[in-house]
Amino acid sequence: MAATYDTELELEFEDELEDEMEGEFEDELETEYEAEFEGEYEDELELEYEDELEGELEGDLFFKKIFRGVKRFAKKAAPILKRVAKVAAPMVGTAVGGPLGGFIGKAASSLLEGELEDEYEGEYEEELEAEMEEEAPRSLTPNEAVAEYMAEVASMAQSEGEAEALVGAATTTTLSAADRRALGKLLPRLVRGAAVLTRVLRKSPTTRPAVVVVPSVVRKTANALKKRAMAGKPITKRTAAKIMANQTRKTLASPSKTAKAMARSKRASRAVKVSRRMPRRMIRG
Amino acid sequence: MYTPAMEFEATSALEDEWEDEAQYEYEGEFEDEAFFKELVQQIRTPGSRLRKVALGAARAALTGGGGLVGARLGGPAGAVLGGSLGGAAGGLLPAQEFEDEWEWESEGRMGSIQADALMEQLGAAAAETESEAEAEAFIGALIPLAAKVLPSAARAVMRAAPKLISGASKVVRTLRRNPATRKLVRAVPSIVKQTAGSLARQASRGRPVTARSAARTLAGQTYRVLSDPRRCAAAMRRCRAVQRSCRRRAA
Repeated sequence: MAATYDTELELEFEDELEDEMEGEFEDELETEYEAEFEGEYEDELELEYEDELEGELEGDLFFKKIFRGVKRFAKKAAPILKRVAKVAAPMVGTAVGGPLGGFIGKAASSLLEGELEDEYEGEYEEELEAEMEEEAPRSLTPNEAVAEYMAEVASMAQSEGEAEALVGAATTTTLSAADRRALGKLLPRLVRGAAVLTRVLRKSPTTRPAVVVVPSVVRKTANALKKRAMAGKPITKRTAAKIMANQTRKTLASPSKTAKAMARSKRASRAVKVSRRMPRRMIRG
Repeated sequence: MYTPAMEFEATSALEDEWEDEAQYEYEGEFEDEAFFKELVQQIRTPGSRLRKVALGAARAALTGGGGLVGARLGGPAGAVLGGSLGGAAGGLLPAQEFEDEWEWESEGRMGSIQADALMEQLGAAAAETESEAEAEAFIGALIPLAAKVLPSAARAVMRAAPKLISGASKVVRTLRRNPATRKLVRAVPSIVKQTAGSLARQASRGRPVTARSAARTLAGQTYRVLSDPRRCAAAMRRCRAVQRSCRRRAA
């Protein structure tokens, strides 16, 4: 029944996505140095996150270039990603929590219209803490960096199956032993949610580069669930669906969050690619 | 309500279940006994369909499935050509090895047991899902977990991870193609674990583990497990046992 519902939900949203994405920005994001996009999201990317990340990259001109390129992508893709977030959140909710998870995800995507804001915002304080932890300047563990590399390869994979296999691997790689203990049998559901999110983002060449944010969404979800478990609160598939749908919505609908996740991912995966003998320390990501 | 005590209880119970696994090898109570009897019969018959499936799946792991396609089009010669093309196509996936100097978490036995159980759950999910791509996501997730189950193999496994992920997902694609062999996807977690073990042994003997050698090892273990009725049945029973245990706890 879940499989039937998944198929129905996918069919319902697939047409919507295809109309949204057809030809709109397909050729505009070939290089990192396209002209600035004059749009409603320009100011959003001037948030404190930008100074924070640029501070991290001080003296690192190459990665500053990466960040600027990523910022341009996030600005240009912002309208599409916001629409994708509305579609992806319920699909991720269904994948993680079953049909009820889909309704929860749809409620999460309604927040993009400002509805139900008071009801859902702040409901899971652990979620907010997990977000802040993930977005704070910190070093990525080697596991997390390798997961980012896998996600980057997934964004460029030739086939859907290949991409989802890599994202599945990235999901289990990015989670620590403590995360897996807390998640228990919810982990396969998170893998499914990550796979669905990857599928949605890969539908268009415009949004395909954003596949690299999937490990970040998974980490925030896992951290929030782990904190709930440590606080003695129940973690069910419904809770996981809600949190992952929320994180999907928040990450994709916010150009600054998207840019930050992508820049961190690019930096980490580049570190994996070029480094041959790493000293035994954390990688800055 | 989740408590740390529950976690230890869960893993101890799971561990006990696995220790008793050998007793259940041919007991009639198992719900798929008829399937296993047929499996044994088919595999033992020379030139049987399942033996061909085992060979096909192993080729897919090594060559990317080109061998199967080539065989359909042009017989043995086609299989060779298809295999070459499949190998070339497989090379399009970045052959970059992951950094081998990275530190991996030392999780201890408890973490390994949990990772082992998760692998079986993912294998079951891959066998049951309707979506092909989702099945491949579940199987892709097995590779890093194999590195956790066998910490001694972690470096070798992650070094060859892209090839292993690609190979394992192609094995699953081959098995899922036919409804009769779809159940065999449950054996893939065991195949991956045995591959990891083999890679660890190779590394400990000083043999370099490359993407190519990892793919060959995976292909070899795929054939070894799927073509041997005892190994195949044991692998599938293990997966079923973990799945039932998880469902009982959920209930």
